[in-house]
Amino acid sequence: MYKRILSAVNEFLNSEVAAKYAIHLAKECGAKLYLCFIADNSLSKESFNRAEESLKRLFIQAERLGIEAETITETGDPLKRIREIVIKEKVDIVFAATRRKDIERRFYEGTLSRSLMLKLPCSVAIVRVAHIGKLHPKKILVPMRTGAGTIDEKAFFAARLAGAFGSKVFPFHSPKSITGASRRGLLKTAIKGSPVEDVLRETPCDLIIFKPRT
Amino acid sequence: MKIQSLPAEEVLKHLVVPEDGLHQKAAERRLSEFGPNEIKEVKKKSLLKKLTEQFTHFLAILLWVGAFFSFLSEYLHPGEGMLTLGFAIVGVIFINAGFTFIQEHRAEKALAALRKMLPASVRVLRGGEEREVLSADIVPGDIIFISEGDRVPADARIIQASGIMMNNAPLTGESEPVPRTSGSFEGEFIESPNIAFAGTTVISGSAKAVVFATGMSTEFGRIAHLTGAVEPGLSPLQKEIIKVTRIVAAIATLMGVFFFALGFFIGRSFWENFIFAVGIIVANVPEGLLPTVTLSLAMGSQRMAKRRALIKTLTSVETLGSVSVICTDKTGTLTQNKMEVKRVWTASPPRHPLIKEGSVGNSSHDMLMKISQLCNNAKSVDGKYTGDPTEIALLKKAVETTGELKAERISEIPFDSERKRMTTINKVISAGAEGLSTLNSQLLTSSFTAFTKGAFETVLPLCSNVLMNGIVAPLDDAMRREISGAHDTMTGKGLRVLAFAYKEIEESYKLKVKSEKLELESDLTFVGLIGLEDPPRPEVPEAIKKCREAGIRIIMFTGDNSRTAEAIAREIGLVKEAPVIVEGRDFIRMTDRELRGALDNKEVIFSRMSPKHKMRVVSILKGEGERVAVTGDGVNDAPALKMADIGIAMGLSGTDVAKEAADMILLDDNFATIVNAIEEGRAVYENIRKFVSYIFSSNIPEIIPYLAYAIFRIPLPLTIMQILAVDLGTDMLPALALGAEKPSPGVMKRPPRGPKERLLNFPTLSRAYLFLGPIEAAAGLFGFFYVLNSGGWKWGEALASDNTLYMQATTACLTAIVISQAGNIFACRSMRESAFSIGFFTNRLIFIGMAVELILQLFIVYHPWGNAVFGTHPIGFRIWFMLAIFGISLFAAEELRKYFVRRYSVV
Repeated sequence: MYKRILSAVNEFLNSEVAAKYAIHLAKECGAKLYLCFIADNSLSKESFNRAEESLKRLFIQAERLGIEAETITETGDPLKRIREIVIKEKVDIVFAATRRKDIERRFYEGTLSRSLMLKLPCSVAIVRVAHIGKLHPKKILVPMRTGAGTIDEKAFFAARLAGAFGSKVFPFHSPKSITGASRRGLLKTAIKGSPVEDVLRETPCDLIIFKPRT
Repeated sequence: MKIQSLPAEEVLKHLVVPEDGLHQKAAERRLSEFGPNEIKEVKKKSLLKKLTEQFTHFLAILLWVGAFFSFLSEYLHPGEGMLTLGFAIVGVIFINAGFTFIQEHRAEKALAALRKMLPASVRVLRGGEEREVLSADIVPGDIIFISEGDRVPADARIIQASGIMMNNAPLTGESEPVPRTSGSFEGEFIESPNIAFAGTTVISGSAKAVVFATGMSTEFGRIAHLTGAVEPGLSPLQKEIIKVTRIVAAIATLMGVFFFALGFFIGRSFWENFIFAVGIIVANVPEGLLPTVTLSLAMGSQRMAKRRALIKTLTSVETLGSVSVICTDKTGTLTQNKMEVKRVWTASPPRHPLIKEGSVGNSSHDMLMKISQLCNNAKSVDGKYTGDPTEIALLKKAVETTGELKAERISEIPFDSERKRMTTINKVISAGAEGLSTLNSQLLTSSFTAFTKGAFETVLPLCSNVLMNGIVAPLDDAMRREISGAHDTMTGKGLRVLAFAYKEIEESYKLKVKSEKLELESDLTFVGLIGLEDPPRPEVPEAIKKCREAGIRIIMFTGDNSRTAEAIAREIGLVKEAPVIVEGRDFIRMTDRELRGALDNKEVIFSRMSPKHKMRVVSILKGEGERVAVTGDGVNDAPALKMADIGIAMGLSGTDVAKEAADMILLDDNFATIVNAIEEGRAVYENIRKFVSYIFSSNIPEIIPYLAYAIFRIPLPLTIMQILAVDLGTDMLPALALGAEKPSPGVMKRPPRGPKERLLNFPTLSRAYLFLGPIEAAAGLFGFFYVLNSGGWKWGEALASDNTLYMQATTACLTAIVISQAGNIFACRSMRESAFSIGFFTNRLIFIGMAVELILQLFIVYHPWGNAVFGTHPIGFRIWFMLAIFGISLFAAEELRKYFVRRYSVV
């Protein structure tokens, strides 16, 4: 299912950690990996250099694991450029990391992570890194809901990730309010709150918000 | 990437940290990325929201509606006293809300206690400079320095270690110091010896480590999250009260609506019907119930404090009474936590399996005592011993037997829970008591001796020789079997058995490399076994017997091995048949279904367990519908203590975190106190049922006058304010006095009440509504009509609300109800037993309550203020004497009913 995986990397350490999930998934699926850094025009030179160093380290790690990898460094609007690359290279899934301010902001709306989820024509996995010392999950908890049409891809994704790390998967029947909540509108989020925000803030382990291709 | 499996030199690379540490800007960036290193509260309901809920539940809404209509009717039809009623109802809402809030709210201090375990500041290497920073500013990637006495601020991978020993008790529950290293480890993260965990303490040595997890991402943060996230849920009593109020509110509403409609049907005016409907609702709702429950729980908690059980949440008082399973620790709760040497065994001819302690002249025995004394970290200062209880026992015994030995400890391989043994290298300087054997004298001149003590199964395999009466002989299979047999005999008696061995060495080992340690702990000479006992608390067997009779199951948790655990359990009467014993290593592999199967057995013991396993057991038991009490004293007991229906912390040996997470604290750490508290808790439930019965009895005499008023077109015999005078005034103190009744004799001879058993069940309701209530109603109406008749009233004659005769008649009705309730208070002291058999004067509060009730009534009847507020008028004392007959009659009728119930076993 996943033949081409793209990991969006920036100058922050947690994006490098998040990219490692992409690397392991690429290894498990035998996929080609795109390590992509799109520098915003306002980015400082120091941040640019840091991001490039992250790319380099990730590329070396991917090569060591025998993964076909390519790095992309460009400037411009990250969402627009990533979207173009996804379409051009026919990417199946994009990995990106959340940033702390994404979690602290009252509304999940308007963050780059959410834009990637809503606007990319492929599956998206947004990774919230809680623990940089334990990138080797033993247990993966997967909320499932009956009637959800994209259960096949979700199951595939979870299974491949578990295969990559040798983890046990624990599916559980989730209440309606968690799955599908990332599509909740601004007004509903303002009134009822967002369970996605709560999960981002409160879960004491790494978290992947997965949006399968529709 | 598993941080623990990386070689030390690769750790910095993987965490993207330069050799000279993070530079300040990089640290600031990581701080903004990962947040501060602090323990955070899990998002919960705010205090304001909790308080608001007290004003918006079903009963409160009903009362708000009643108040609204009262104010509306005052506006539209003034002069009927509806304004006073409206304010009175609002007052009831606030009183009830306040009391419920007091019951339910408890400031969450468990997390504050956890936060205290983290250090305020820590030494870090930043930009090549070593400096002190606030613990909250530590970020993943920081290189920290920890040394003796330091608390670890965050989870860190050790990259350089210098003899560092740590206390990991907050995470593992084991207080034995554990060594830490910098080498890679392929096993489980939590067992890794190269990780320093947040919240743990450095006992000795020092280390350099790289932080990889901060704040809530640490293992410590995980415990905090579990402790903070567990919502205790409603207690059984709270659920019952909610059910009761809903039932009552539904009955009240239905009756109000029904009689409102009926009134229209029979041609009464809107306002007459309206007043009547509001009156019916107010008469039905037991306004004083919640305050009385709260005060009764408070009194119950005071009684428990006198019995050495400190209650922290009021509702726990009653929850204790419904407990069906107690999950208890062994050491310190069932036992005294005072280890004593009970048996000694050495392989010396003549071969006695158990020799008497202290027999001088037996060299093996003397050597055994020497090892006990020197291979020991306990200390004696001015006759006072400090250290691990097992080591204190060994040290005491050794000093008593052979006197104090002076020896220089050269080095040590410390005890750890994996190896289960410790070895010291000593140079003995001087002897103690006289009569030491030749062998010992020889040792005095010898350079160094390695002494080893530990678990039998880890020491014996290291031995190739055995000491037999001064002679070192090869350890053959026959002797091994004999030693094993002696070990089994001792563990079968419930003793904790340690094995002792030694080895003479030419020069001291530095013990810096693993190979040296392996070499040292080999070819040892086996000396003997010592069996220690932690005696059970003397009250425990009786307490367990009481639990058995009360239908409460006890499940024991211990770190001891299975044989020892079973032996102790038999000694205290916890098991009689063949118990199911689940060991820690099997527990981890069991599925929930298998565990449920094991827990279905009558007798279950969990051995070789660590505290983190408790939460799983509690969770399964609760899922099976059991009401679970669990004991704990450590930080990692906190989640289980929060999850259980009753979390019980040890007052003497418990950590602050455990005490904060618990609902009850045992001030004496004694299991028997739990059983006493359960007895009190059952008594509290019984007492709540008694005063519910008492309070509900007065509903019928409040409703019947209204029915009579509606159906027979008589003047209203009891006004709404007079109803409130009973419900919120005269009834309160006697009801509270019922809450102070001692436990009935059979309270611990019945099984715990089932989850389906209701506080307000048919027998209680029918007793109040169909038996006691009608008697009181008859008394009220008798008083009413007697006064009217005496004043020349004719049937059908209307009387104004301020008419003196009318007011006197209503006063008589009210007084009749109060006097009947005075008789009812004695009747309600027991559900089945005769009031004379339980001791008439055993509860002095009853008399105080009754006296206050009557004084209050006197005030209402004779004082101008009472007259003004309640619409009453003074009546003659001869009316009191007449009405007293009803009080006595009610009591007599109830005694007769109880007699028939006892005789024919009718519930």
